[in-house]
Amino acid sequence: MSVTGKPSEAHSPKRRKLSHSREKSDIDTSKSSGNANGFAQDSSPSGTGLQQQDAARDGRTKRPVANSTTVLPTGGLNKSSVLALQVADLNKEVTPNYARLRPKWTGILNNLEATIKQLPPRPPVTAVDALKQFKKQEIRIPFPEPQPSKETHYKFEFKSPQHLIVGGALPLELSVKGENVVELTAVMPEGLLQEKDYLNARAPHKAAFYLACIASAIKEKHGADLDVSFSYLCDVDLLPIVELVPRDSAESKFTFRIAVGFPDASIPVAKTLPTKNCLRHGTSDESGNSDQPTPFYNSAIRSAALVKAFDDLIQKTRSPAFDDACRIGQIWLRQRGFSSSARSGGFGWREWCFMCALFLSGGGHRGHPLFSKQYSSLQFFKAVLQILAGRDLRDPMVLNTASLEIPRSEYPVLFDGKTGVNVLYKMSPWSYQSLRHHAQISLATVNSRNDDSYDTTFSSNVATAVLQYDELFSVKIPAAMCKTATEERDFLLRMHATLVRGLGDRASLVDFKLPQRSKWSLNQTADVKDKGDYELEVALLTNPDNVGRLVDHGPEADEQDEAADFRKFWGEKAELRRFRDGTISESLVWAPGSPVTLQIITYLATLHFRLPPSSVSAVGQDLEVNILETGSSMSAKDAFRIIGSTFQTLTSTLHGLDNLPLPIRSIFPADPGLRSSSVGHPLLSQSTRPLNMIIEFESSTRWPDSLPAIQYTKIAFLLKLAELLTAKNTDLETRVGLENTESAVTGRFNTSFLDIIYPSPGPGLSPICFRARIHHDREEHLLQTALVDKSLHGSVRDSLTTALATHRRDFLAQPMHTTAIRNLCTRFPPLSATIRLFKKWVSSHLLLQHIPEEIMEIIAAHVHVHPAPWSTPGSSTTAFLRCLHLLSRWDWASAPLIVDLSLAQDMAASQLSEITRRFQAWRKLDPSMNNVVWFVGTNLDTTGTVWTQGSRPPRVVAGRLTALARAAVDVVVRKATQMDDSDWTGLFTSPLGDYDFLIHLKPSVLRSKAGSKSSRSAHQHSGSSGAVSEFKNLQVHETLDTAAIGHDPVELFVRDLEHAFGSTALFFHDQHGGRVIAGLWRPSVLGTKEWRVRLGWSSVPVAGDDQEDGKDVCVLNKDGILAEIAMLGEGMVKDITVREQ
Amino acid sequence: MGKAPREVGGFVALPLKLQATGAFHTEATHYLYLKPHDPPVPDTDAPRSLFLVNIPVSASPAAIKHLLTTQLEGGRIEKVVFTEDVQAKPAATLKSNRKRKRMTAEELEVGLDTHSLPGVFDSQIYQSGSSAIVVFVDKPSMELALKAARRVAKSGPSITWGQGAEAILPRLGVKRYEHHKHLQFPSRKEVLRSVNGFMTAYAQLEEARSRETARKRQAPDEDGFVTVTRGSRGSVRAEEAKEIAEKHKEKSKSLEDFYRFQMRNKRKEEQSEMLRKFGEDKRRVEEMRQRRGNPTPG
Repeated sequence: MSVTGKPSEAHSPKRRKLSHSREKSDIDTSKSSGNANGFAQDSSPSGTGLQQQDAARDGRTKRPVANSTTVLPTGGLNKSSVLALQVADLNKEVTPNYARLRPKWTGILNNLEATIKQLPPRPPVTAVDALKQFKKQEIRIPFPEPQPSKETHYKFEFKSPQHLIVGGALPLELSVKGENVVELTAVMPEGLLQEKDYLNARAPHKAAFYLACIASAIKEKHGADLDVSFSYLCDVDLLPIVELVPRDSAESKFTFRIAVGFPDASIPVAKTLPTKNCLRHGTSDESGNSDQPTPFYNSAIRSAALVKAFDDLIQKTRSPAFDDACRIGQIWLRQRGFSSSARSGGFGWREWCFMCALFLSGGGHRGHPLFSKQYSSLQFFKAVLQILAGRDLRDPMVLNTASLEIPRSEYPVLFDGKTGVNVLYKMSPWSYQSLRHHAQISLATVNSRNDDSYDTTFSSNVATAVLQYDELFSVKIPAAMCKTATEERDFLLRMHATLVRGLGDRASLVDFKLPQRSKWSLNQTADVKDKGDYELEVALLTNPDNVGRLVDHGPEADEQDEAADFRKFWGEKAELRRFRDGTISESLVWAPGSPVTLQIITYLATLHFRLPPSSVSAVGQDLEVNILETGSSMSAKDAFRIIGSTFQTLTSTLHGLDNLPLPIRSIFPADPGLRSSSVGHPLLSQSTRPLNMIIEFESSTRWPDSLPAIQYTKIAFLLKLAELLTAKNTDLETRVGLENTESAVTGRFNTSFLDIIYPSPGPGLSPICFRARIHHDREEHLLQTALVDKSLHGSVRDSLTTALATHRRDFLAQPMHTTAIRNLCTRFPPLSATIRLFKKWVSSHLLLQHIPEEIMEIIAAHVHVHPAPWSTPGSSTTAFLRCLHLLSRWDWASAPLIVDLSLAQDMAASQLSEITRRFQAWRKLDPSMNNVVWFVGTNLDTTGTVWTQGSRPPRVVAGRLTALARAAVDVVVRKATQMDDSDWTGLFTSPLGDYDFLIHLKPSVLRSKAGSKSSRSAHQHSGSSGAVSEFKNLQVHETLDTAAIGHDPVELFVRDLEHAFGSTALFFHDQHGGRVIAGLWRPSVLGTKEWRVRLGWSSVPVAGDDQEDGKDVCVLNKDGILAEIAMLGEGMVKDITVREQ
Repeated sequence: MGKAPREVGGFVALPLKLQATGAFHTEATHYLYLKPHDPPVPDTDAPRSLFLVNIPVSASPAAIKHLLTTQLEGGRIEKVVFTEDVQAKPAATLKSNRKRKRMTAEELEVGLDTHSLPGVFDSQIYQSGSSAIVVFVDKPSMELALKAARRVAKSGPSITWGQGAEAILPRLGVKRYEHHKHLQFPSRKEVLRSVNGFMTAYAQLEEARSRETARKRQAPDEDGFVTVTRGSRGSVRAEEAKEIAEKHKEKSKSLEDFYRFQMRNKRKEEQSEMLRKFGEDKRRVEEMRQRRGNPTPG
C-alpha cells in the first residue's frame, strides 16, 4: 500500500475534519505509508548500532529505519531475539489492511456526516418540552442521572455542529483485525453551552438532547439501512452515544458510534481538576458535601471536550513502532479481558495510546520525555508495562503541571495537566490492581529467557476466570441498591474496600466482574435491562498459607482505638479471647468445614450491606473435596505427615543398627506416597501401598563383581537387616520378598526387597509398609560395560538397555525426584492435591498405567513454578485446571517440556541448551516416536527421557490424553462460571464407547471398593461414608491383614495381560476403582496378513480369496484371544463385551 | 468365516476348542501349528521333536503333554522347551564334565546358572503367538502325535484345550494371584538356602578364577616374557587415573586473554556467534509459524 498516486482528499484516513477546522495536511501526507507491510524483512543484522543511530540523527524522516530494529539482534548473546521476531510476526498478523477496509466504511460515514451537517437548528426548549417532542418520535432522550425535571431552568437547543471528528481505532489505523469501530464525534458549537454548564451534569444533559436530535435524523434517513440504538461511550453513563450497525451483512462487521463532544473552552481545565467538586446538589446541601471532589465526573466531561486534542496528541507523537506497540498492546489487553470500556477494566487502546503519547513528551525527570521515539515496538510495550507494573498509580502521577496536589486514593491517577484529564479515570480500584498484577507477570516473563514467553504473554487467553482465579463467588445484589451509575460505583467501591479488609492476608487480589451492559433501543431507558438482581462476580487470588486459617487475631485488648475499630467492622463476630501465649486480643473464629473465604464474604455482605446470606454463593467446585475425599476421619494431608514422620523414625532406626556387615551410607525415599503424591488416601486399607525406599551401603571392596552375585548379596543383606530390625523393635513386622525372579540368572534386574511394616497408627487406618531395596552403584557400571560389547545378540542388548534404564530410573532418578517434589510440596501447599487430582483425572480416563506418574508430578510442579501468564495458583482446583490447560497446549511432537524443579529456580543455561539439543537429536533418531514420545527435561534430568523412554506414554495414548485435555479445557472455558455439578463430574468420567472390547471385573476382586464410589462423586458422601461405617468389624479385620498390603489381583491380571497380549492389544484400566479393563486392538495386527512363524499374535488361518502367490494368510483370532483372556481371569472377569461394528 | 485351511506354511493347523466360560459366552477356537522340528543347526533331539507355534498363553509342559499324549494319543514326551524361556537363559548348553575333579572357571560359571530363586508365580504366562519345542522319547511317538493332529485338523475341531486335565493344569485367575501373594514372600529358610547355595558356588568360581589368573601371570608369552599384572580391580583404578588426567589437562591451559589478537579473535567469534544465533532464532520462529499456521492468539 502506498500513498502516492491517490487523490489528496482520499488519503486523509486519520481524521476527517469538516468545516472550519485547520488543515494539518503536513502530517497527513507524509505518514502512514504501509503500516501493514512496512517491515524491512531483508534487514541484515550487521551494523545494528550504527544504522540505528543514523536513523536517529536524520530525525525527521517519517519512515525511520529504526522500525526494522524489531527484527535485529539486540541485547547481545544472552538474549534471544526470538521474542522480537515473534512480536513482529504477530503484528503483521493482526494488522488489518486499512487501505482495503477504508472504502467500505467511508461510504456510510460520508452519508452520516452529510445528514448531521444538514440538520436544521432547533429553537431552545425546556426539558419537559424536549422530552415531549421526542416522545412523539418514539425517542427517549438518554439524559444521564439526575434526570432534568420541571425545575430545570436551562434550555436545550440544537445547532449544526462546530465540526465533526472521525476517531476510533480503525480510522486512526491503530486497530487490530476484527475490531472495526468508527467513532464520529459531533462537537457542539460553543454557543450552545454556557459558562457554568460544566456543573451539575448540565453539559451532559445538553449533549444528550443534542444526541437525541442527531439520532432522530439518522433514524429517519438511514433507519432502513442501519440498526440505530443508544449506548454509553466506554460504559461511562455521562456520555451517551448512538450506535449504528449496518443491516447489510457485508458491512455489518463495522460499528459506527456517534458521540457528542464539547468545545474545548467550555469545560475549563481549572474548574474540572480532580480535586474539584462539580456536582453540587442544590443550595440546601450541607457544605461538607460540596467539598467532596468528583474526579470521575470531571474527567468524563473533560474527556468529551478533548476529542480533538487527543487526536492531535496522537498524531504528533505516533510512529510506526508506536502504532505497532499499540496493536500488540491491544492484543495483550484483550487476552486479559481489558478494554477501554469502564466495565471491562477501563484500560484499552485509547488509554494505551494516550499514555504512550504523554510519556513521549514528558513524564520523566525534570519534564524530559520518559519514552524515546527510537523505541522499537517491543520496547514501547515493555516500557508501558514497566509503568503499569512498577509504579503504584494510586499515588497520583501528575504530568505537565506543577501546582497540583492530589491526595492518594484507591483509584489510580495519571493526570495530564495540559488536557486536564486523568487518563485512568475509568479504572476501578480492582481493575487497576488486576491490570498491575498482569503487567508485573508479563514484564517478568518478557524479560526472562524462557522460550515460551511469547505464548504466555500474547497467545493464551488469560481471562478465563476458572483458570485465572483461585476462588470465585457470586453475589446477588438487589437492583434497588444501585439504581444509578453513581450509586453503583459507590456501592462497589464500598464493597471492595470491605472485602479487601475482611479477607486481609487470605487474598492477594480481590477482583470484581460486573455484568456487561448492552445497548438499548431509542425508545427505552438505559437501565431497563438492569431490573431484577444484579449479579456481581467476586474473584480472588488466594494465599494458600493463610486462606484456610480458622482463627484470626485482631488487635490486642489494650489497643483501645484499634480494638473499637475492629469491633465496629466485624460486629458480633469479634470476640475477645485469651490465647495460649497469654495475649488477650480481639479475634474471629470461623467454622471448619466450609471455605473460610465464603464465610467471610457472606458475613460481611450481611453485616455491612444487609444482603441475605443466601445471596452469596461459591462458583465452581472444590475438586479436592469432591473428587479426592474418601470419607476417612483423617485427611490425606495428615496421613502424609504421619507417613513422613514414620519414615524419619525408620531412617534413624536403620542408621542406629549395630552389627551390620557394612554401615548404611544413606537412605532415600523413592515413592509417590513419600512425596505426598499418591492418588488414594495412603492410610486406608483399600488404597494403601508399600512405600518404596532405597538403602545405600558404604562402598566396600568386598562386594562381588558380577551382577547375579550382587543380587544374591543384596538378599543376604536384606535378610540380615530384617533380623536386626525385628530384634530391635518387636512391633515391626518384616518380610523379604522377591521380584523379577525370572531374570535372577543374569542378575540384570533387582530381585529382592524388604518390607518393613509398622503397625497401624490409628483405628480404621492401615499399617504402614515400607519397601526397601538396596542400591549398589557398581551395578550401573557393570551394565554399562556389558553394553560396550559390540557383538551382543539383539535381544540380550535390548534386555541390557532396559535393565540400565530401569536401574537409572529406579535407583538414581527416583530418589532425586522424590526429594525435589517433596520440597516443592512444602513450598506450594496446593501442589500435593493438584498432583493427586491430576493423576486421578488421568486415571479415570484409564490411562494412568501408560503414563509415568513422575511426569504428571512434573507437569503439576510446572504449573506452580512457572505459573505465567497467571500467578502461582492458590487452590488445587485452579492448578489442576491449569495442568489440563498446559497439557492441551503442549505440542509434544515438536517441543520438549522443560521444568526447573529446584526451589531456587537456578537452572543453568547450559542445561537448557543441552535439553534442547538432546530433544532435537531424539526427534532425528526416532522421528516416528516409537521410543520417546514425550520429552520432559528437568534440572535433575537433562536427558529428558528418564521417565518417558520405552514409549511411556505410547504415541496413541499421548494423543488421546491431549485430546481429552483439550475437550476438558474447552468445556471449562466455554461454560466458565456456569459449570454445574454434572459438568465437573463429567470431567472425570470417561466414555467407554471407543474401545474394541471391555473386560468387566467382578466387584469382589476390586481392591478399592470404596474408592470407586467416591470417584463418581455426586452421591459420594452418603455412599462411601456409609460403606465405611457399615462394616466396622470387616474394616478392622482388613486393616490387620498385612499380607494384603500392596496386593492387587487386578493389577497383576493387567500385568499378565500386557505380557501375554501386549503386542496384540493395548489395555486400559483405572487402578483407582475402575471396574473395567478396556482394550484396543493394535492397528498393526488387524486385517489379513501373511502367515509367519514369528507373527507374535494368535491367528486363524483363512483361505485366501485371491490366491495370488500361494502365500498362506491369516487373521487375528479375536475370539480366541478373548477366550484366553477369560481363562486367565478366571474368577475375576464377570463379562467380556465386544464393540458392535 | 469359511473353513480354515488345514495346513499353513508346512504346519498342521490344529484347532483347539476353548471352553466358553461364564465371562465369555462365545465358543472360540484356538489354532496351534505343529511341524516336525527342523532347526538350522541340527542336534540329536531334532528328529524326535515337534515344533509348536502359537501355543496358548497358559500352556505348561503338563498341559502340552496332556494335549499331545492323552488327547491326541501320541507317544510319550521327554521334555517341552519354550522359546521364551530359552531367550531368558542364554547359552545354557554346555554340559559340565563331571569326571574332572577341579572344574574350570567357565564351567563353574555355567554351573552358577543352575541356582535359582524360588518362583513368585505357580506357572508362567507366555506371550501370545510364541512357540515351543516338544521332544518325544522317540521318532515314532512324534509321528504318531503329528498324524493324530492331521486327522483332527481334517475332521474339524473336536478337542477342547485342557479338558480332562483340570487337576494338573496351572491355576489361573484369582487362585494364581492369591497364591502369588504367598509365593512372593518365601520363607526365610528357603531364601537363605538358595542364597547360600549360590554364594558358595560363586566363592568357588572366584577362587578358580584367581587361580587361573595366577597361572596366566606366570605363563610366559610367545616371546618368553612374563607380563606383570595387578589384581582384578584394575578397572576402578583406570577410571580414577582418567579423572586425574583430565584435571591436569585443565590446569595446563594457557592464558586466554593475554595478547591483543586473542581479544580480537574472541570478539570476532562472539560476533559471529551472535549472527549465527540470530539466524537460528529466525529459523525457529519460521518453524513455529509453519507449525501453528499463524501466530494469532486464539
